[in-house]
Amino acid sequence: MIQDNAASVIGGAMIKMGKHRESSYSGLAAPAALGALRDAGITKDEVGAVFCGHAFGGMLTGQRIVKELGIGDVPVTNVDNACSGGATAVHLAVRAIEDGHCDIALVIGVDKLTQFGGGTLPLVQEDPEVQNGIVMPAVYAMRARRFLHERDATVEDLAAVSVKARRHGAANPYAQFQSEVTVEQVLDSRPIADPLTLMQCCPTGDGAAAVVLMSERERKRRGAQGMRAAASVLHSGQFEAGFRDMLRPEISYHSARDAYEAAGFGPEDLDVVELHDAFTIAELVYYEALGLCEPGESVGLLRDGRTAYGGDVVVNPSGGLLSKGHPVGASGVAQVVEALWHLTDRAGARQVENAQRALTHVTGGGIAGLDHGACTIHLFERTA
Amino acid sequence: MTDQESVLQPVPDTAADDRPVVTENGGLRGGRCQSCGAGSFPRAYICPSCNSTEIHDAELPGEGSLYTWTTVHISPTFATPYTLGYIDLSDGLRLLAQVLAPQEQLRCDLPVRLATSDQSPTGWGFVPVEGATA
Repeated sequence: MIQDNAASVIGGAMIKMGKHRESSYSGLAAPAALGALRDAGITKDEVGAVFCGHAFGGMLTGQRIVKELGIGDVPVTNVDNACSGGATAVHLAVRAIEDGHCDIALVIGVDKLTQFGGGTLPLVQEDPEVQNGIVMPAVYAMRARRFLHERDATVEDLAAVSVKARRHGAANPYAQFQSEVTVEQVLDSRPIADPLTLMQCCPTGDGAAAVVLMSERERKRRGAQGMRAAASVLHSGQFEAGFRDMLRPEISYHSARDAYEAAGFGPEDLDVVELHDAFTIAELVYYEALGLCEPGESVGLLRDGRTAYGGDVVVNPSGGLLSKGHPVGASGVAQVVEALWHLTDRAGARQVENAQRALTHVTGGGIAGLDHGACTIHLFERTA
Repeated sequence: MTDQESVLQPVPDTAADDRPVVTENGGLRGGRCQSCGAGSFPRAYICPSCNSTEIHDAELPGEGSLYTWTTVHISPTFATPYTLGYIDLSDGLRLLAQVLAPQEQLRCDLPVRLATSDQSPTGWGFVPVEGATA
């Protein structure tokens, strides 16, 4: 029996990810927000609350976007949780509905990275590791180095993550890259932070995505279909001054454990996973953190094709961040839109057949002493 | 809480500090909690373990092992390439620092020691212990 206050995603939209230098934050996000309202079959006046995730939009980004649609007089909350900001906004919308604050919430995720002119993600200069020269690719490169040291894995295994992502992305018209690559091309691309090469790093870019969430009572009244949020979990990282196993990021393990417990189903029940593949190594580490395989088995899982079409579960059917790019605040919401399309049989050429359950996972940030600053995991189930 | 002594003040954690990171003994200048003994680098002002604010300057060990490393080819902070690593100090503390050696000489778990160097963009870093193998 589904509770009256359970939250479901009943509409979603995103813009094509890419380099949109001629668009403002509202220029990026207003089309996605309007698309989500239309997809949900609701009007602007029915929105009871707005949550906007972004990292680099500046003050009142959410209000700047929704005023373009004529939405006002409702609470608009702006959320920063680095790469997890958009998913955190989804989490807050789920909580707002479950707690009875509103029946319909609009969630927007947006960021414009071309404003920085390229290069690595700008980090906060107050952090001691930033002062010592850390950049996000270096964090993952060091994770990759340790992975190659401890596991029976090669740089070709890392590259295979990009090959799969780009193969999936080739079928996604919303992806920034819609072309396949080979292991050789990936390894021959220029070095970024050894052992990671350019094609093992998500491209910079701009993007926006939006979803509409609705209470079960309202959804039933309207007969709307979509996917129920069976779990919505947000964790922050735990500071550790000493040894930390970089192959076992505690924040994703703990978030996944809590999400499966809340949903009442497990990794073996999933059809679609959209996980945070900002860099190739991340996907291999997260297979294990999300319980898609036992610790130590991730390379075999990928090699055997068990995370591609025809396998146990399709991981990143969208092509992931490696194909779409990673407009920080947008990514977590775009993952949810991708899940919605699969669970409502609207994913086109990349449709995962008869998809019933999906997981979305996105971490946020690099700060000294933490695996990551934030981690958000959602589990979704097709509405009956 | 309106007595002059009880008015909270911020900690001066970004105040200019020209003292070298490497001590005369080759140790690392950090902090140690006077309540629970936890080390910190950079020196903490509030102990994350016990929340004591009695933290004194302390010399931390200058030896440890290289948990992992990478050579960075793109950075807004320093001229590239440069090599970074996570070093697990012999007293259990982990820190990120420059690693000052050619990649061919580096391996995970390699014993390393603290050194001052003009070759480092921060003026200090870690070098392999002579004759050491991981």
